[in-house]
Amino acid sequence: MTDIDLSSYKALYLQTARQYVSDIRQAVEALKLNPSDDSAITKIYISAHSLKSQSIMMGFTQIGQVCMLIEAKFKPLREQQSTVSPAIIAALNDTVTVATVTMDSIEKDNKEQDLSSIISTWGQL
Amino acid sequence: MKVLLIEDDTFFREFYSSKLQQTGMEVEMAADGEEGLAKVAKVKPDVILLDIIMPKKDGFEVLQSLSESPSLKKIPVIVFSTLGQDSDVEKAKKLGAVDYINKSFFDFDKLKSKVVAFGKGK
Repeated sequence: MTDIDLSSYKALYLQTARQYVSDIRQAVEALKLNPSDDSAITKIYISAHSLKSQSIMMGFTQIGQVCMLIEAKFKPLREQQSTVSPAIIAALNDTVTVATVTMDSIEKDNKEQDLSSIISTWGQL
Repeated sequence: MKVLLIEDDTFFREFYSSKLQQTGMEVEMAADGEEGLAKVAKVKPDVILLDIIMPKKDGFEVLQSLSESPSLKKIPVIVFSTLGQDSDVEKAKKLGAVDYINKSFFDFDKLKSKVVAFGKGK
């Protein structure tokens, strides 16, 4: 995408991306109460899937990579109606925090924060 | 050329619809599979662009429903894919999708050529 296209769609990206992060945050709170909450698991899966796609298209590959790892983790959880572990819930909490900061960074400076640490966390789960 | 875009993500719905409309195509939109199926019957598009992962009815369920309708199954369906979805694309093709577009790597010429080719061939 050209620079012109990027700036044309950045506001829309941030609006929808922040909504997905908010959706994930709410779903994490639901999982803290019930780690088998199907609706919360599905919400996280679909939100991560969508945020991955649009982030990669906009050139924000680190957020895309984090979301791809979350999506891969939650796909079997959703299909097998499993329980989400405390480690995954903790990683989701951290992800929401860094994603929020990254969205602010994108808005201000047009670039992501360094997400290598959270990427590594998800890679090890 | 009339295109029905069935896509739950607001960003992609806005982005793809605006790009297609810039070429002169008429674009109808639906935000989930249920709404998409209702609109297919009403709008009778030349081509359907269909997301796979959606709440309510997903893309697979939409494809299954279309295949069961003698009139609607003739409408070509191009599915949206993203990274890590190769198996989903294969499943969609077995359910009747004619092609796919990776929505994370926007290539407007490819999108337009596929929509035109399949839309005219219907």
